[in-house]
Amino acid sequence: MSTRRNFLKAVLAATLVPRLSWADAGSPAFLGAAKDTNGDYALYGLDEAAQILFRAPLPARGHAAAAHPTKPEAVAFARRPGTFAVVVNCATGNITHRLDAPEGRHFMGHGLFVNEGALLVTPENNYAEKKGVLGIWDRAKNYARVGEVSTHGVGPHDIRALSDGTLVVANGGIFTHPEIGEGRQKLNIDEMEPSLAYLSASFALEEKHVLAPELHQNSIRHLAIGLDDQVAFAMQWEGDETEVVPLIGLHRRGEEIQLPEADMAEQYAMKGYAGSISFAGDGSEVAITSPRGGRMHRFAPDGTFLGAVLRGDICGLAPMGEGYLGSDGFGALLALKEGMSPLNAVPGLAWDNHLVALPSLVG
Amino acid sequence: MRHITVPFLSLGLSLALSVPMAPAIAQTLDIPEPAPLDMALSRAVNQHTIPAVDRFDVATAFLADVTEANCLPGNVKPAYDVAFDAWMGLQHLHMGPIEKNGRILAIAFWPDKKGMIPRTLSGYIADQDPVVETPEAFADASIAVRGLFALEYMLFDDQFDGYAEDSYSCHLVQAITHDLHRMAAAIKDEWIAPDGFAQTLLMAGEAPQPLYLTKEESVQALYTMLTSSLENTKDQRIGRPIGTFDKPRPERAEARRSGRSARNVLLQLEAARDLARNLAPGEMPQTEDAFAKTIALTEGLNDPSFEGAGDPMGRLKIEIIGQNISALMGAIANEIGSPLGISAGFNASDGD
Repeated sequence: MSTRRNFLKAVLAATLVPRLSWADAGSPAFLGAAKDTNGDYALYGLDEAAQILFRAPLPARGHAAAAHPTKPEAVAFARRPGTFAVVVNCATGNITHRLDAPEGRHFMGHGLFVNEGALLVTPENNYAEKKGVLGIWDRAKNYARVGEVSTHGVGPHDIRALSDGTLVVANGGIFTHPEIGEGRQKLNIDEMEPSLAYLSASFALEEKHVLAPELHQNSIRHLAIGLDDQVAFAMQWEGDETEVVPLIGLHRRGEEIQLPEADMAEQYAMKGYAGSISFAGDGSEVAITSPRGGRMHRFAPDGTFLGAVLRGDICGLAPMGEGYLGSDGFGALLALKEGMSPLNAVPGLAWDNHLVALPSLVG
Repeated sequence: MRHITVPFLSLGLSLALSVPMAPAIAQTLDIPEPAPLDMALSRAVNQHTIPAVDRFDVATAFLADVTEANCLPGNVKPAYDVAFDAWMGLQHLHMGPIEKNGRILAIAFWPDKKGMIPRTLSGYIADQDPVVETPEAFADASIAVRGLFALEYMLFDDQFDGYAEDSYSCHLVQAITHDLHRMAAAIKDEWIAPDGFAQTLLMAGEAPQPLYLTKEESVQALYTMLTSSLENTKDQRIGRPIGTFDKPRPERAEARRSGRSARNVLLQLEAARDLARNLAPGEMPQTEDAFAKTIALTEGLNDPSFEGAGDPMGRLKIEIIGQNISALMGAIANEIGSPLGISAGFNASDGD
């Protein structure tokens, strides 16, 4: 009897509870983490006009999120050196799973769904062994941790995939330890060796690039993928703050890294810091933001500097239309290209470092 | 599109969501802005920024005129000090016309870590580069031969200051001073014009050329200039020459050739105090005390070009000024930032 009852329950469940898709979450186009006036943190879903569709509370400050390619599910990651990540059902705003980094590791604020959403991979700091790893989590097994591989560098931060499934990892090069300086003190500034690592879909190292010795303190942190799998990366300079250094890199597999810059005065105004990077929605250009310099720098895919857009505290950046959606710590969401126009302003809401676009979601 | 109500939606957020959003925000939102913030903005723009851009314009006009009449160092030096003094009243405002077109570096290229200024000046002089012949050409010259620090080499450095009237160097000095005045005049025009940057700050979202969406953002921007300029004085003007205890670097002091290192710290502190007084919504006794103490220490230093950084006692005296600036910043946060409800940018102050 119990078997039959279970069978009926299963049938009922299948018919009464339709499988959720992103449409059930209002088909958000963007995700962003923010802090509100009460000091609470949450993940927000935004529509194409940057209006808020949902708010899912987070237990602590978030950084970036990974969106599932088809299910209305996002994984919000704690900021370094946080050890939790939460899976948010974006249709209900509920947290459905909590991921805890294993002993001796913490998350780096970023992650990515791979294998059509079957696996989640998370850059982590294995601080006992002073090396970067990718944690592998199986969605079908309630996000059980099923493996771990090397990122072939210290301090991995962002991760992206090329069209053929190749993974690109930004190894920031900075070593931190959770028990020293609240886990954010940089412990190896003199020996940093940031790198851009390409891993096969089965996580084998295929290609790795490091910067010239004089730029070894330029932490490769964030990534964006453009047309034809062009990789763009944003850097944060840990050397002398009066040095004028490149902050964006462009790369195609098998080629040399290109490090374009604006003219010297404009480059200097970025204050050695790029917080986010994104290609424009149409792929025609790529931009980096500097909240410290209060500006966004636009570049053509060939590295030509296209201009600066000024906006204090601007950081989050995602592709939108023919340009970008940007966010800042004053609660504004802005349409950006040659200039800026505000789309939404929520006083008291401080948008955190990143916006995540959900480009090719099926409703 | 479906709006999902979640129980955690805060009151502030739901209020914010129910109103039409910017750019129409200023017209449609009838929330009265707190008066102290409005007044702070008006005072800071009208009583601090506008006099500062005006003074720099006047001072550089004087410098250019003096140099036009007689380009020799002995004649130009007093006017140089007047112009640099005026720049110290303005250089902390890294915003709008001042930071446009790389003007900050073109006016004050410091620190010049790679020695670009003497190298580039030598090259221009050796080649008799015709760039000095027209203002347009000079405006496109390397920033290493423009501005106050290139001029300092020409007027105060043995390698460059022995030039004669009507020599190439003389014309170069004249070109530098004209270029400085050209930039100062452009900054002033772009600041005070009816659709200028003063209005961008004052009118915020309703400005002809909006950059700040609300007046709170304008005040926030000015407040950031206050705090980051003090940080910069501590980290650069003081931090560079004092180096480390084992390795002090007096040769890295700002404007040491013209003997202005301590004076620039002093004038920067005075400019910051003026901005602080205009932004403060009420009394600021801690801040006044901290400014008075730090300024008195600087005035009492008796080491104009920070040569003393090279010996332990002299270094300690300069270092103490930096420590006082740190204390000063705490007072500013308490008495200005907190009551106005502003702090440094969320992303700017804490990135990842």
